[in-house]
Amino acid sequence: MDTIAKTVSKSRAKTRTILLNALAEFLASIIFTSLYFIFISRYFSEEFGSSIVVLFFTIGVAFFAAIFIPFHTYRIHIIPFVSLISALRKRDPMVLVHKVPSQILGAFLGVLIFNAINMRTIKVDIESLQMIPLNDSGLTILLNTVAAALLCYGFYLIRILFKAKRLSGTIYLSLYFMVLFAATGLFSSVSALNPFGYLFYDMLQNQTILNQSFLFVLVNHFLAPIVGVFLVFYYIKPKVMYQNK
Amino acid sequence: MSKLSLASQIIGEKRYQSLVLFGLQERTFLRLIAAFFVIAVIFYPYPEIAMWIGFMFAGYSAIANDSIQTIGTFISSNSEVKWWKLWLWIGGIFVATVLYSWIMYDGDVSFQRLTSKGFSESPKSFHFLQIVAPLLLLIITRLRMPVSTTFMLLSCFSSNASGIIGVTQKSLMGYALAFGVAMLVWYLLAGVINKLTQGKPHPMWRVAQWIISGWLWSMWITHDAANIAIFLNRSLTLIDFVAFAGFVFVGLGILFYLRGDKIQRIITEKSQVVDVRAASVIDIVYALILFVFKEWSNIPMSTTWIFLGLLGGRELAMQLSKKSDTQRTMGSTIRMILRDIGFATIGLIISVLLAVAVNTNIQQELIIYFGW
Repeated sequence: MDTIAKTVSKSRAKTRTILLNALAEFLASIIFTSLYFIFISRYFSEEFGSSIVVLFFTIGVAFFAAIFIPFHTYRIHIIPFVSLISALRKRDPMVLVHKVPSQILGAFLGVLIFNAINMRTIKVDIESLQMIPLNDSGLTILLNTVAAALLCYGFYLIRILFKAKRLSGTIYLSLYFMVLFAATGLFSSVSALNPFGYLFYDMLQNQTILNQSFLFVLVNHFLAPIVGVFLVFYYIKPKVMYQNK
Repeated sequence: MSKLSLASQIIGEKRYQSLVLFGLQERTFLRLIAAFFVIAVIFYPYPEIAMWIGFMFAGYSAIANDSIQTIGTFISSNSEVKWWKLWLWIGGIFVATVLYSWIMYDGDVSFQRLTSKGFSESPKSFHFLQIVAPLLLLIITRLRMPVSTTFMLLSCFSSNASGIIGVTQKSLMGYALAFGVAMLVWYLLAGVINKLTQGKPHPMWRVAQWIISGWLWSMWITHDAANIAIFLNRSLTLIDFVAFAGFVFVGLGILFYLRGDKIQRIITEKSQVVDVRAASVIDIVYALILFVFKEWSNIPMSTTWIFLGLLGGRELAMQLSKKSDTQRTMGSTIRMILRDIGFATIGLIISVLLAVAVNTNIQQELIIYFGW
C-alpha cells in the first residue's frame, strides 16, 4: 500500500511540475512576443524616436523579462528550437509536447495584445523593420539556420556547460540574444529568434506568407532551423562527453 | 567541472554572494518589480492608462514607505489587536480626510499642495522614468532605506528647478525643527516621560493612542496625499475619487494584514516605541510639527525628513539625559543618526537625478547655471 501511495504522490508531483512549466512557458511567450513587437513598432514610430541601439537593448530586456518574471530559472525556453535542443539533450521528446503548445498559444496571445495596442495608437507595420531585403532564398535559409544554431549553442553553453541556471545565466542569455538580434533581426524573412511570433503576426496582419511558395516557407522557417539545431547538438555533444570523462 | 562565474570575477566574490543571497531571498519581490516594469514599459505612452498605473505604483510604495512613519508605532504597539480593526480605523480616517479635501478644494485631494509653483499643471503625457519612480522607491524601501517619498515622486513632475528647491528648503527646515523640538522635549521632559512609562499602562492610554495616531495619520495625509495624487488630474471626478480612495483603502488593508512592510523594522529598533505611552508621545510631537508646517505654506515637503529629525533628536536627547536608558552608546546613537541622514541624502540625490533626466526645462536651467 505504501509503495502505491508513494507512486501516486510522485506521479501527482510530476504532473504538477509539468503543468507549472507549461503555464510559465505560456506567460513567458506572451510577455516576450508582445514586448518584442511593441519595441520594434516604437522604433519605427516618429513619436518615440528611439535609436537602433536602444532597440537592440530593449529586445534583450524583453527576453530577460519574459524568462525572469514567470520562473527566473533555466526552465523557460520561449523559442521552440531551444526546446528542441533540450529534448535532444535529455533524450525526451515529451519536452517538446510540454513546451511547444504553450509557446504557440503564448505567441498568439502576445501578437493579439500587440495588435490591440498598435491599432489604437501608432499603427506601425513592423514587417518593414526587416529593412535589409534578401533576394537570394539560399542566403535567407542559411541565415535562419545560423541564427537558430547560434541561439541554441549559446543556450547550451550558458545553461548547461557553465551551469548558469539562475539570474546571472538569464542575464548572459539575454545579452547574447540581444547580440543575435542585432546580427540577424534586420534581415527579411529571418524568423528564428521569434518564429511563432512572426508567424502569427503575418497571419493576423499582413499575410505576406501567402506570396511565398509553400516549399520556401517550410524549408526557411521550419526545416532549416531544425537542421541548425541538430548540427549544433552533434557538434557539442562529443565535447561534453569528452570533458565529463 | 568547476563553476565559472563571470559576475563574481567582476564585482568580487563576497559582493557576488551577497547579491545572490538577496536575489534568492527576494525573488518573488524582484519578479513582481520586473512585472511592474514591463507594465510601465507597455503603457507609459498612453496618458489615460499611465496615470492610473503610476498612481497605483505610487499609492502602494507611499503606503509601504512613508505612511509607516505615522502608523508604524501604532502597528508596533497594537500587535495583539486584530489587524482588521486597525485597518478600519486608519482606512476610515484616510477616506474621511481625502473626502474633506475633495469637497472643500473642488476635487483636489492634495489639500492644495499641488497648487504650488511647479506642480499645478495636470500631467498630459508621461516619461517612462516618472512611472517607474515609485518602483525605485519600492526597491529602496525593501533595502530598509528611509528615503523621502516626496522627493522621489514629486521631483520628477516639477516643471522647473525652483519647485524642487522649494521642497528641499522646506524639508531641511522641517528636519532641523523636528530635531530641535525632539531634543528639547525628550531632554527636558525625560524625567516626566520616564515616570509616565513605568508599570502597566492604564487602559485609557490605548484610547488616547488611537485618537492621537488617527490625528497624526490625518495630518500626514494632508501633506503626502499629493505624492500619490501627482499622477492624476488636479481635479478628480466622483469616479476618479472613488478609485483613488478605494485603492489606497485596500492597500492599507494589505499593509495591516502584513503588519507593516520591511521598513517597519526601523521603528522597532528605536528605543521604547513598542510601549503605548512612549509611542503616543512621539506621535503627538510629530503631529504637532506636521500641523505647523501644513498651516505655514502650501509647498509640499518631505515628512520622512521631519520624522528622521524627530527620531534622531529623541535618541540623542535620551542618550544625553541621565534619566533615560537607551541601552545604546553615544557612538552608536550618532552612527544611527548619520546613517539615517545618509540614506535620506541618497534618496534626494536619486530623485534629483530622476528629475533632471525627465525634465528638459531643468536640464536647460542647469546648462545655463553652469555656463555649459
